[in-house]
Order: sequence, then structure tokens, then C-alpha cells
Amino acid sequence: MKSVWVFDRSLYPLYIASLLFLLNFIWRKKFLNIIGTIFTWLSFLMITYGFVLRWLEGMKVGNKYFPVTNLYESLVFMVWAVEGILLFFKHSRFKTEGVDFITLIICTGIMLWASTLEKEVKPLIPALQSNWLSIHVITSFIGYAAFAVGFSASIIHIIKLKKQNFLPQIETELFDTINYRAVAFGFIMLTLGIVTGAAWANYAWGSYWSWDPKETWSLITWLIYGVFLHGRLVAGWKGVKTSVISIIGFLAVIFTYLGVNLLLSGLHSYGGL
Amino acid sequence: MKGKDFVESLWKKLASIKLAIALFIIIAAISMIGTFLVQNRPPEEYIRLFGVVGYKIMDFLGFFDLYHSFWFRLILLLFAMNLILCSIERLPSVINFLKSRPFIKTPSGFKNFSVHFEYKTDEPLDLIKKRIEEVLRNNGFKTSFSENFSYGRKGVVSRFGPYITHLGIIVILAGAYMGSVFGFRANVNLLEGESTNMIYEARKFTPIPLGFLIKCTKFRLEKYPNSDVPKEYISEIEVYEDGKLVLKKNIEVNHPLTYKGLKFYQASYGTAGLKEITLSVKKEDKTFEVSFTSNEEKEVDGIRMKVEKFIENYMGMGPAVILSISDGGRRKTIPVFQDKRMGEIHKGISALDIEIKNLEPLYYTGLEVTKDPGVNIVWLGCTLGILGMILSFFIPVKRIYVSIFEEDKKKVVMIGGSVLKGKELSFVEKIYKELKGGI
Repeated sequence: MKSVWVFDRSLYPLYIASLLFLLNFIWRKKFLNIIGTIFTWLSFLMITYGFVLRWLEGMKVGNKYFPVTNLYESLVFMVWAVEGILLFFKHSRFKTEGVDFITLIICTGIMLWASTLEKEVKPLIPALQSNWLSIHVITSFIGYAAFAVGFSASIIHIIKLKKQNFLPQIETELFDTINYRAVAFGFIMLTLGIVTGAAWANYAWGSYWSWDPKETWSLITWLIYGVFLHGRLVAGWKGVKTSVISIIGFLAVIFTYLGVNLLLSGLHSYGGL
Repeated sequence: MKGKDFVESLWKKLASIKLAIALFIIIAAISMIGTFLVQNRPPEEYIRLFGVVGYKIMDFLGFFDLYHSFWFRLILLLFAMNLILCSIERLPSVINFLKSRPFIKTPSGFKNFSVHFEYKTDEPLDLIKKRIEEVLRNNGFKTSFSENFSYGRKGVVSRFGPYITHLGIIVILAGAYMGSVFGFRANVNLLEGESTNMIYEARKFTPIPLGFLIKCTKFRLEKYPNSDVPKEYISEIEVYEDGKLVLKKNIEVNHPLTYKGLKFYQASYGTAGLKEITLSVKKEDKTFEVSFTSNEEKEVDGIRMKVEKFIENYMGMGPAVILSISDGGRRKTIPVFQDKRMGEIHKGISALDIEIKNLEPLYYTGLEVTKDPGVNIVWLGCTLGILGMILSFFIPVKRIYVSIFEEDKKKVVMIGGSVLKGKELSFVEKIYKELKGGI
């Protein structure tokens, strides 16, 4: 399958970009950052192309919906979204030293894991044939991706708060800002993801909310980031506190995404999603 | 006096951000318990885990139906109250913000801005003021003036974002509550050709009259070409009122039928026998075809045949019928498979070659019926919630201050600006350039 070939190859620029960002983190050379960004773009565009191919392949077996309908596709989509959000921060003139490296390591991890999964394009069972499903998966995963960037920024932020001589030329607050921006955007996307998921459930099963474990865990994640936003914007929390909440939030994301599938059962159990 | 103090401190507590954050965490924690302790299982399973006494205590506390327990609802109610009181408590600060005209009346006041500009001019005062008003207005600022001082703001709607989101959440909770009080879930199974005006509540199986007649004329199961993956489950439905056909629609997964506030969803299907089956029977050199429509017995060329049973998936080998057959001698009961390869395997059982030419199972369709008068309210709440978030996160509140000071017969125009929920301060420079460029 051509799309899988392209997705697999997108790992190479991802490896190179991760390495370049690591070197930039150590030596701090402008050209390393620039070339790293170019390779991130390359990986991003390859996955974009891969999705175009996969959509066409899906059409051949009778699927007309955007191909984010199984675990493999959704993981690759998440890598694409994480890269996109990282690039957005980079082009908004944010200094992302360290954040970019951790973010791309997460991407590499997800991509390597995805490559071990069932990759075939299969016809969709009736419940999965819905535009709400596509929008639901897309918004949720863009949200998860933003939280991944927030998570990376939180880690760097905490290290910087604890160690004075760490990245001395960058303001500590910058990482807090990246964290906040990413979480605020992720929060809106997660909310959209939950709402469109509810709309889909309402069309498919006649109930917009049934406390299925995945729904419940997405609510838990939403509440954790709700604590983050209220703590930061209203109660004035800063520093380690907000960063730790962002990290906990991302762990909840991982559990929503994987833990629920592996440990709990529910409506989402089919499709491996 | 003491009572008033108490009320005041209670109000303060109920309206506090601390309570809000505590409730976030409590609701998250309870929700978490509900995902690990599987909900709404039969009592036996819980008794096995916790013992009889443990089961009774936990059942009384609602642990096995956490999300519908009285205390979880109480917490949600508290949450809603906190949300409302919090908003009331904070609204005055927004109104003050709208009312305030924080003119900057001393040159040193501009030093507090991270971005500020100034220029000198000897134009008449009126002309400068007029230009300030024009430039600020053209840049979308709402402006106010006092003497030689002016102030403009933009994007104030952002400050209302949180309140719109909070209102949205209250609306969602209200809609959900309406649904749980006035709504229901029910099931109905219909054979092809069957009709009913009665459905059955999902938990207690109490009958609910529909007030109209619903008929399933046909059920179809479509598969992808060359594949066993189901593509579509389709129930062809007709709705009758007073004996007259009023609606005809196919119900599919993701495409429910809505009629008179009720929604009918494709939930399940199954087979309940045979509609028609055609067998081809080969005896010596002759081949004949026999069709059955029910459990009738037929005789062809001295062979008596009866279809005893239709099995949708016989021992994992696909659809089959159990045929009882006798050709003068003793009666035999044999399976006949739709899949011819399976037939090959079982050839030894009978001397006759029997094949299924055509098989039409009699399907029943399982429909889920729901009534939820709160659902549109929930969607309204969701829309408000998301709208409020977009306003509060993406629209920066920009403020600009322009003051004119007289210095050695010349006028000094000072410009400063600030932004909330954003970093982009380039608008200050833009306005400075436009003001200065106008000279």
C-alpha cells in the first residue's frame, strides 16, 4: 500500500529533525534549528501526502470518509498534528529549544509504535460511516497534539525553574507561555472533540452521553485542563504548579487514548479506536 | 448580625474559585472510580467481589450506578451553583472595565508601557485631536476623550467569553436534566412485514404506546463486494396514522428516523426463520427444484422433505437449513449448507445431492427508540460553551492611550498600548506611524 510506504518513510526526516534539535539544544547554532525545521516540514508534508493517498485508497474499497478510522491512522494523524503545532510555534517566533526535541521524540515514539500495527485499508462497518466521526477524531487528535506540545514545554519549564544555568539566554516565562497557548488551544479542540463525539453518538446510538469509559476519561482530561486554565487565569497559579498540572493532563490524555482501550471496555472498543 | 455574616461567608465560599477547582477535582475523581468499577452489572458480580454486606452498603451509596446517584447529582448541582455565583461575583469587574476611562495625564505614566512612542509637532491642538480620533477609529478602537487625553479599546467582547462559556455549561446541565426527567429509551423488535404501536422501555420493559403505527416492510443487510464486512443495515420503515401512510423512510446506522419527537435508531437485527428457500435436488439423473415458504412438507418424486429449521451460522460454517428427508425408507435429518464447499464435506450423509439455490431469511430489525426533549438545549449549550472559549482565548483585548502634552510651545504626543491575552503589540507602532505620518 502506497500510503503506508510514505508514512513509514516520513520517519527518516523525523529522526534527522530530532537529532538536529538535540544538537541545537546542546550547541545552540542557528543553522541547526533552521535545518531541523526544514526536516520537520518534510516529515509533515510527507504525512500530508500519505493521507491524500490513503483517502484515495479508501475510496477504492468504498469508503468516502477521511481516513482516521482505526488506531493506526489516528496515531499517524496525531504525529501530523503534533508536527503542525510545533511548526506553528516555531513560525510564531517562539524560541522552542528543548521543547522541539521532546515533542519530536514523542512523535517518533508514536510513529514507531504505529508501524507495528495493522495498517490495511478496510471497508468501514456501518457505525463508522459518519462525517461526525471524522470531525470527532480530527478535533480530538489536534487537541491531544496541542497537549503534547504543552507537556514538552512543561518539562523544560520545570527543569529551567529548578536549574538556574539551564538555557540561560531564554526567559523562563516563555515556556510557561508556550504551555498556556498550547493548552488553551488544545482545550478548545478537546471540547470540540467531545461535542462532535456526542453528536456522532447521538446519531449512531441515540444518546449523546452514556458514561462509556472513553467518554468519561475525556471528561476527566477536560476537567484537569479546566483546573489548569482556572488556576492560571483566575487563581494566578504559575511556575511548577501549572506545569505539573499540564503534565498530569497529558498523562490523562494518554490514558484516555490507550489505557481505556487496553484496560477498560466500552462502545469505543471496536475500530481499535 | 451573626446570621448575616454567616450568609455572607457562605456566599463567599460558594462563589470562590477554590470551590470551583475542588469540584473539578472531585467530579474527575468520582468519574474515574466509575470507569474502574464497572457500572450497572448484575448484583451477583458485585456480591462475588465485595460480599453481601459490602454489596448492600455500596449499593445503598449508589456505587454501582454512580453517575445517576443522588449525591453525584448533588455535586453537579453544587457545581452549577458555584458556576453561577462565581460569574455573578466577577461580573462587576467586567462592567467596571467597560465603564473605566483610564486616561494617562502625565508623561511619566507612559513609561510603564513596554511599548510606547512619542513625537513633537506644532500643529494646532484641534487638528491633532481630530486626527487621533480618526486614526483610532479607523483601527477599530472604541474611543473616548477628555481634554487632551484619549483612550481606545478593542476586543472587549473577549471579557465576556468566560461568562458565555459558563452559561453554556449551565444550559447543558439543564438540557441533560430535562432529558433525564422527560425522556426515555425504549426498544422494539419488528419482523419484516410486522407492525406495532407499542414500544418497551429499555430497563423496566414497561410498554409505552406510540400513538401511531410503525411497520417494517423489509430489512436488508448489505455487504461490501467480495467481502464479509457489513456495509449497511437498512430497515425500510413505514409510519401509519389512522390507517393512512404518513411517512416512508429507510433507517440506517447513523441515519435515524425522527417522528413526533421520537427517534428510531437501527440497533440490532436477527433472523427468525425463513421467508423462502429453493432447493435443487438431484436424484440419479434427474434434477428438480423445490421451493418452501414455511415449515410445510413437500413431496417430489417420492421424496418427502421438510425444512425443520434455519440456522444463520451453523457451527461456524455459515447459513444452513436442517432438512428432514425420507425417500420411502427411514427419515433422516441432515444439514444443508448455503456454502457449496461445506456441502462437499458433508456429502456422505445423504445419497441425494441437495443444494440451496436461493435462500431468503426472514429478518427482524431491532430498533432503539428515544425521546429526549433536552437534546437541542444541550446542543445550544455546547455552541455557547465553544463560542465563549473562542472569544476568551483568541480575541485579544487591546488598549491604546494617546495624550498630548505642551512643552516649550510645542506639543508632544505620547502613545502607549497594552494587550491582554496576546503578545502582539505592533498595533501601537502602527498607530504611532499613522498619527505621525498624517502631519
